[in-house]
Amino acid sequence: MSVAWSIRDGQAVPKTEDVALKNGAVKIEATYLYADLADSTLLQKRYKPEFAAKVVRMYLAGASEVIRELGGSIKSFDGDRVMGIFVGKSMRNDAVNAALKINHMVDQMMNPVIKRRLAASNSTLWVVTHGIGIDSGPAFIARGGIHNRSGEHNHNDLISIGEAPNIAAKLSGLRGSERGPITITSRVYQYLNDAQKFGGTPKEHMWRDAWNVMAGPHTVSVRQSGWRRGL
Amino acid sequence: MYPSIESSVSEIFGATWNITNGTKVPKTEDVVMKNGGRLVDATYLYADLAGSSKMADSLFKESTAKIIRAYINTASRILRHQGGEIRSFDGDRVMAIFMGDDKETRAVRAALAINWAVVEVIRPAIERSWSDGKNISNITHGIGIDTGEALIVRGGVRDNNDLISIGQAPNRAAKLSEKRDSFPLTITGPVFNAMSTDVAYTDVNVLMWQKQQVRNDAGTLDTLFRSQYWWAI
Repeated sequence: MSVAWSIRDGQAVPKTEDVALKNGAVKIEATYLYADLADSTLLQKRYKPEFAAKVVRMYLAGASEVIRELGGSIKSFDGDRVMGIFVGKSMRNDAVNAALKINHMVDQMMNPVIKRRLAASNSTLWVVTHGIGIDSGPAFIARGGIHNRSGEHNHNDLISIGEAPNIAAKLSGLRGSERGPITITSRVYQYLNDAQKFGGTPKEHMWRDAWNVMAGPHTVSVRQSGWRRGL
Repeated sequence: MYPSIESSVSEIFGATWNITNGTKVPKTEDVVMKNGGRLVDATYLYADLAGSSKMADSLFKESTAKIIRAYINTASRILRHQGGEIRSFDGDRVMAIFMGDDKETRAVRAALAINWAVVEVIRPAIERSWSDGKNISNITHGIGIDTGEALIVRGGVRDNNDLISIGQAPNRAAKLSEKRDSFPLTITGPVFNAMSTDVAYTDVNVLMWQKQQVRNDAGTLDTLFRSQYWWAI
């Protein structure tokens, strides 16, 4: 605990090996997106593990693919949620664009396939619900300090510290309301350009009015949307 | 890229799993990407550092990072020392899988040792390291343990540590590690029944665990055992 950090300012999302194990850290302005599959406990209780595994995998693999396609980096992956980090000038717009596309993937690709599948075997219907939380701000990225053993090279042990990763994680848990699965902070919204604010023909505003929610110890102003955008 | 999402969604559903029975905790590359799976009988432990978001506000990020790192690093060492394999890591929590003989006993032993490290090592170190260390040293954590059958598959995220465990044991262990009260350790009835008396009683024969009946989502009662004991390693 007495070792001083060797801190540098980052322009790109660091990879695990970019951050020195012992005391390296990167300070960065970033946008954090958490995509979180809802009710996975119930899913695993109600269906065979083979089926539950497919649902979880479709969601995580698909969401990761969209995040990467839009320039985000996957830096955390745990059970039923995935975290993407976006940096650079259009980071907020990119993250929100990813959220709209992930929502499309769930509603238009996953749910129809699952419905057909379950109907064919006369099983109880399951509709996938999910939540996406997005916030941006300064963050501090350090190594967690887990060494890989020989033969192991898969531990991505970066820790993101800051309000933005925490708030984004909490907001992804707000799903399920009629306000829609996507929740972004107002400080993300204010940077959005029209492409991320309006949708449909004729153009409609995609976001509900701002309101305050509790995210852990924070009271944050957020906007929510149930819109989706084709991949 | 995008057409691949549509095709991979239907492919994932169309494929049949190729599931083998595992006798040791698989590594990512042991589970073939496309539709491989390992069915295991395993004990899952999640160790979760509580309140780190509150900590991130009241402290410099540099200090928060050190505290999270001290916890994750210590927990990982102890888990491996007891034969646990770390298979997931997310911010301020770590997950280990134990298999083989005494898997429940080794997992519980690790939990008691991690609690020892928090109380006897990490908290005093925080107090020594910062002038206001007394105020921030009261870090709390939670450890959840459950045991049973699980299916381990790949998540399908390229270049990533992407194993997913599906089953009641990993799920409940994660949930139990999020409990925040005066009992940092929570294990399920099946873990309690399978573990040896070494980790159930102190050397003067006092039961270290308190039984609790908790109503679950399905409305039935789950038997849990809670503890605040620690045991140096």
